Amino acid sequence: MSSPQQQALRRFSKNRASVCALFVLLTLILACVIGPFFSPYTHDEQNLNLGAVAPNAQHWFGTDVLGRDLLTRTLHGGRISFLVGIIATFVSLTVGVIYGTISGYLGGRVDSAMMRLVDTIYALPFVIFVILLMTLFGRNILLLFAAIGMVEWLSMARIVRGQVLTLKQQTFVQAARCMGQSTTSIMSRHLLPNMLGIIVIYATLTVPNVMLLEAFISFLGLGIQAPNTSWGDLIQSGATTLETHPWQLFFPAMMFSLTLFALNFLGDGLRDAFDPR
Amino acid sequence: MFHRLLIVLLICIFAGCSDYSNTDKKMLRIAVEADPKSLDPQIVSGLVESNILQSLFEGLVNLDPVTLEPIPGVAERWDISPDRRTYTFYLDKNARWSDGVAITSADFVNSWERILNPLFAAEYAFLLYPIKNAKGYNLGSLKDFSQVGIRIKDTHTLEVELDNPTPYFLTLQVNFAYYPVPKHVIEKHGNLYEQNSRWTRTGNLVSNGAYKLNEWKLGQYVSVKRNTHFRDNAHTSLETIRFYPIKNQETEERAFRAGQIHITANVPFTSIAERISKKDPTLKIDPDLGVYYFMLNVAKPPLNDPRVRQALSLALNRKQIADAIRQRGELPAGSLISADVANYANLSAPLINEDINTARKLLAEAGYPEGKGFPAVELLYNTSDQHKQIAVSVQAMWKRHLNIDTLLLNQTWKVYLESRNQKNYQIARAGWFADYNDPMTFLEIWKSDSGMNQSHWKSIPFDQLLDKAAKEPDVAIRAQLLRSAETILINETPLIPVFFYRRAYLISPNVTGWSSNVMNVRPYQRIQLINTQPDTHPKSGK
Repeated sequence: MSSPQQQALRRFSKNRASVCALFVLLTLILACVIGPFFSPYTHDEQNLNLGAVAPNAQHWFGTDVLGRDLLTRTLHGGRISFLVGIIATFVSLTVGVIYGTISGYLGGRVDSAMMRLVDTIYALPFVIFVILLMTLFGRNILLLFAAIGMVEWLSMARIVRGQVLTLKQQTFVQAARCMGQSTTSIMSRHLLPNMLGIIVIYATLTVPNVMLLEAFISFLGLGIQAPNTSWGDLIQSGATTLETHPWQLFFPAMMFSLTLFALNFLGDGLRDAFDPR
Repeated sequence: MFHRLLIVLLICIFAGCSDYSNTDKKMLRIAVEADPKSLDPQIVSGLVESNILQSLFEGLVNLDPVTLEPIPGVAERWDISPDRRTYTFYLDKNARWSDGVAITSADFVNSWERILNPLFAAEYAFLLYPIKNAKGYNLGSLKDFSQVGIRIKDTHTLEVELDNPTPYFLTLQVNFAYYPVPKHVIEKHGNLYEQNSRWTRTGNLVSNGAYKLNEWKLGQYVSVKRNTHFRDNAHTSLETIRFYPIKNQETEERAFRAGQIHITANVPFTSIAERISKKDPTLKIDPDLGVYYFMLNVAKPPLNDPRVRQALSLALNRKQIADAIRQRGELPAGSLISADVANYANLSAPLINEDINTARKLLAEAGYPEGKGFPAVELLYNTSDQHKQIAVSVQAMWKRHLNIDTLLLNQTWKVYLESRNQKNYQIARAGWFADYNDPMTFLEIWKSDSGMNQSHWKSIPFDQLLDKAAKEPDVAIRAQLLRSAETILINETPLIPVFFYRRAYLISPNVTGWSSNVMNVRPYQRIQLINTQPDTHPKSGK
């Protein structure tokens, strides 16, 4: 006999698209993390005399108008984008799971009150919320993570609450309650492990969402502080020079799309593995 | 039934499109950056309005679009007194409003009274300040308009007395602030001093230029047609000119390529280098009287130390910014006043050049050796890709040469203007374009009492030099005084000039008679449309 986790892993390894996606994703992350160390250029080193040149032997991805190496910038931007993806997903995961579990398990008035709060925050227009934060506290990358996390935990809380509502009716939870286990230990020992599958799946689907949000904010010019960059920021400046210097849009957009595809395939694969039907 | 409705709808849509693709050879189609704020020449302040109003109105004197020499306008000739402080204008007896009413010297007195009246609160009234007592009347300290130096000698003779000999007074007449407005029409549509009066609406507006308003459709176009009452109507060749407001430069370029407009307002900066290298015949790059600069808020540390400000200025490689980013052959600005300006002899040599060693030394003297302990400064610009690129390159130059950090902050145009007005910035990107062709227009905004001086910088010697220059009748000595003032300004560095603007736009080869000049005086009356080339301009090389 093998545990459900091991079964899931076996099912996952048979899904070729997902394994491929995982491989691509790991390669991309590795490239972004260590790539810039091997580059002869830095992400903010300008060469105004060179200007914008098409991809060549010295600059594999070409350069931008300020003569900055686009390969280095794309990898550097990838770091920020992945960082946003991971941190914001972690924030949304932590807050969302705890909030949803408490709300679902306690039920009744507490549940209603907690969920109405979620509805209220949901109703806030995200862009205005971010602009408000930016004007109040100035532009700050940590704030960007926080803002995105603040929005993303809401759906996580709803999903977890729904799961808890069904789980708490089941006999093993009732048995645990009869045996006098405390609420917190029921939550952590019985509810959480049973929701792990769905949480992992949702997390992998949150990462691309979050990265898209970051790209969107950067596209509006509210994101990262120059000369730092992210994929969203690179795509934004690349889009303006589409007709004359198409490579400035092509490469960051390609990397970004690859990542999003990989994450979505991975999420799909995980869902199939954990939730076979 | 539904199908018939659909067809009607489709026809409406295509009819809407055909507004652009009119192939009438008597109609010139020009793009402007936005809808005009108004067509009342005494209210407006922008380039868009200026471009349109030049077709509708005419001042006492015109400038030759090629040489910029004064040529007759409403005044057929004029005398200047030996002390150069009294001008007598003899009006053309054929000059008429577009409703046929004759133009007399009283029209000019009434118009100038209106723009100077404090009740009217005209933004550009200050352009009339060279006229004797005009400033006092405009600021409310003088109530009696008869003391202002504008007098009717007879119905067609006007005498204007100035406070000081003002070498650029004749060229001021091409500015919209000096245009006459028809009092008899304005009063028909409401109060003379009401800013939102209905007199500028389609059907109401009466003007005195080569063209009169035909139609103004907000968001679509302003159309003007030949004014048959114009004194020089015989020389007008185009029947109609349409001004299309197109905000987006890429949209504008596409409209031009499709032959929908003849003259654009701009060229997308991303395509300029390519057009230059391919020798695109439709690309025009004209000198302009404008300077791109960074304004420093001298009240905010560490910028309160002039050595820091100078170090920042000295550490810039202006030529690189102009060549690599602007890419249209603009000159780096080592001073504030462009070499193309009149009345400035040959005094426009650079006052500041890149000098990294001196910059480092000054920064060390100010207490920040090698940039140590220097607080990050914030550089504000209005949201635009080009401004961002310049800001990023400046940020890198300051980091590389001085080892100081710069934070970039972008705001949309209106918020940015508000931040400047509130003096709520440290370093702000700015541009200044001449209101008239004289060095004074670049310098007077830095006077202590100027509303445009948003830097907190004040200098009494600078103010005194400008006052002295204003009273100086000899143009050469005056130029020397202005140069001394400019030197003070550059040495004290409340601003860091970067480059002198040039205007880039596209013009169809079918347009003849077009000429350009630094004053943006447009030769609408001389333009003809010929039919030698197809109206479409596919991208070269394709």
